[in-house]
Amino acid sequence: MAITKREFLQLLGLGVSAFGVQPFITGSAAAQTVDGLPAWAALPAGSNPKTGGKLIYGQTYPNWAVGSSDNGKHPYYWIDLLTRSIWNSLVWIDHDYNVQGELAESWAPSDGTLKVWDFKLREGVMFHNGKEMTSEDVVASFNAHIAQKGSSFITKWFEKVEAQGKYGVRFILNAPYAEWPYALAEYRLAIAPAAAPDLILTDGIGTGPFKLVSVDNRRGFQAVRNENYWMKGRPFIDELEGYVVNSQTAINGFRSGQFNAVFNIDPTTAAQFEGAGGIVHKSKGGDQFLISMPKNLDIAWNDPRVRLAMSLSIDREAINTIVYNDPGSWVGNDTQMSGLNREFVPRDKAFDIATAKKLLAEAGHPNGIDLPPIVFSPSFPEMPRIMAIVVESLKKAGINMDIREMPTDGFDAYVKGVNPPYGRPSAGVVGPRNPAINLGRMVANDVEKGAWTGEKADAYAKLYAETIAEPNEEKRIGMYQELQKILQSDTPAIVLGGRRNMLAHAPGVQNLKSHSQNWSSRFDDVWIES
Amino acid sequence: MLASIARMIGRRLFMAFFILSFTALIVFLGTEVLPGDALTASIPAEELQFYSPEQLAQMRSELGMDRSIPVRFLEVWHQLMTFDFGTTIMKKESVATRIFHPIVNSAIMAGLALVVMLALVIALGVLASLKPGGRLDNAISTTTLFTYSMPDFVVSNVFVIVFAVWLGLVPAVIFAPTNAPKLTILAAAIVPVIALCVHGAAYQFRLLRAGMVEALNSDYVERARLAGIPQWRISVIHALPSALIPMLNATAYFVAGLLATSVVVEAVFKFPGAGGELLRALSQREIPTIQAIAFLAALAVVFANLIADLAILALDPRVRTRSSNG
Repeated sequence: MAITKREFLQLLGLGVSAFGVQPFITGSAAAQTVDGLPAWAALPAGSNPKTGGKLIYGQTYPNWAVGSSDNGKHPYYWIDLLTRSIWNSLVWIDHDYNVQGELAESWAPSDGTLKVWDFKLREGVMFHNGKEMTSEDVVASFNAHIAQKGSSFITKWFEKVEAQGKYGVRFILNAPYAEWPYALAEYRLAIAPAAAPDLILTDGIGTGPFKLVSVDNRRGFQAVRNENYWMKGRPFIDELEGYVVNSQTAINGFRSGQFNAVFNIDPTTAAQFEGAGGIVHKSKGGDQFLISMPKNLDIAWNDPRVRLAMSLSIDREAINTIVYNDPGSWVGNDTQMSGLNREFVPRDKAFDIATAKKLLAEAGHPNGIDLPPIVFSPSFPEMPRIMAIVVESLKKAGINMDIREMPTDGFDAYVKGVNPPYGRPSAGVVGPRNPAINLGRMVANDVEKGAWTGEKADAYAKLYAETIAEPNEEKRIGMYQELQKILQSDTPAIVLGGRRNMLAHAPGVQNLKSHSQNWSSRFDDVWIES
Repeated sequence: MLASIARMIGRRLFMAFFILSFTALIVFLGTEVLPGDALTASIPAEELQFYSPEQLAQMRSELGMDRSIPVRFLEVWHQLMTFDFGTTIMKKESVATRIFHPIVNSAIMAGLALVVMLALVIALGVLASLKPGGRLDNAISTTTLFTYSMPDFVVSNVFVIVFAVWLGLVPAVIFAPTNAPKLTILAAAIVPVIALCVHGAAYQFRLLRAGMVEALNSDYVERARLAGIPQWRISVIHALPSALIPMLNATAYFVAGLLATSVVVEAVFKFPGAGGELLRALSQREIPTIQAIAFLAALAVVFANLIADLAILALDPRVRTRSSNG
């Protein structure tokens, strides 16, 4: 029996109302359209976009997974995390952290268990190869993402995905997850044409605003306008190119006119871009820098007092001031949450050398301590300066710890090549997300969790499962706060600081905005004036 | 005569074989034996705890630590000499595949740099020597003294600012992919090549100019002058060959230094060459990749020296005579 879009939405609404789960279903009725486009895709008032032109951007933040594969046509190994140039996901997180329908038109849990989620797909979406996207492609894509461990944010909870007619899919989870749609917005969870398991996702075919022409994932890509993009009339620009560059090369390229945009500029170079006629756009937030400490080996930081002493020794405000010239701009609490999250709970005291020394003495290290080196790859250009401040901060409390820079190319394999599954001690970047994902990382991400065990880890895992099973959003907020307090009391990981993402663009480039989630940047609403 | 030249080339090739073997030994000692062993070369002592006993045992076996140092050296020597560079430590991918395009791109850049540098030096050397102490000679000599004292990273950045940013004549950033067609790489290499030549050419020019001045003051040139041969012909046909001889040895050194200088120049221009690959390998302690690039660089130097020797042989009759006399 055929079912119309309207009937499908009515059924979803009935189902949702029947089980009283309306409060958390943000975006489930996201089928509103303006001129055939989703409401969220509306341009700023008074916009008069031009068509044509070429956007060539420099990117200082390469994909952390480059080095794991040379196939840049695969979204996991794209040159950077901005996969929405070529691909789309089912949903997208907007600049205000709301879930918006991308290839999915609407979604809702099928019942009150929160273990079954139904998604209605947009109709008439075409892949770059001319084939229409259907539920078969979505099912095949997600099965591939699970098989290829595309995102730890979904793997732990995913049980199966089924087609529901031509334009519907059903996710069946192994546990309740009230914020499941949010997890599907990830840049890796692209939808690609169905194909054999070893071929799917490997050919650079997506539904995105640009069609791939060529890519060298260690250097750059060229793409052209997708005439059949599902957002009618978009994208505005004809060609898109992106190149991975270091900070100095980015400025050189911008000054010479080779780049008309640069993503993730080094904050200390903002004035140079402005001096070259550029416009700098800052997002509300950005990634945080988190130290993962494997606790399965005989290392002094297995004692939580040492970990807390480390955290209390780090002068984050010095990082805000020296590196970002933006005092008070970021606050963290040694969880993956940040001040951007309304559920955020700050530490009582974030920087306290005296207490740090006292804790070290209590832990049997009255004369200071030597800790194993931490490795990092400079995902963002300012990272080496942040690490230098951290090393000096730690020294003041008597903690000697080297933080070593490694190339981004191959870094992931380097970290995970030893001590499986926790890897070696490393400093990585953690993007800003909703609390379910943020706090779920200490359940699902082995490297960040770093073999965190014990009563508190058990209590945390139990409370986390209860939290994401809680249908009432207000109740969840309190539970998220409780989870953060557990983490703060045991400090399984340490957050060093956080950034506000910044991009610079030429004055002629319009509507290009820096997204707090770097990977959620879009190109389909950007145009060039001249 | 030809037989004696062939013998000399044979001797050089034989020496090249020993030099490469010695290079393999140095690379082996530097990367696998000193100061600890092959394992500590790729894993610092404080990081050993992150490896499981099984991993360490496997790495020991893969690195041949269950065999004696001479045996391991012979294995490494054989691998390098047969261009079998093995696989990378972390990803187990073929080193040869990994470095092929960067090496070829760097070879194109180095080859072009060599040609441009020689053409530039010879042209300037001849011009400057036409009237030693004249305005042109002074201008060229002063300029080359200045460029000789400028580090490569300064030259590269100045080139970017002047030619790319101010004048817009060339790109500041090279967009060509690593596996781009060779002509694309050749075109992309032009500005980096000039940057490479600025420093190298200055030293070579000074050697050539000195050689030219000496040759132009010699008796045989004076006789040519009295015979009414035009000055340009005297300079190019009679003086230049002998003046080139001292410079050619320095040219071989220029080739030897190209890998080091190209690391900087490649980074500034984002050229897809071996310099960046070497830096990455050094950071990740990818010993097989370091060995491969170091060996290939040594091979290039040996080859450049051989070419220089042959050129000297062709240019200098005294050397040919010595060769002929054994």
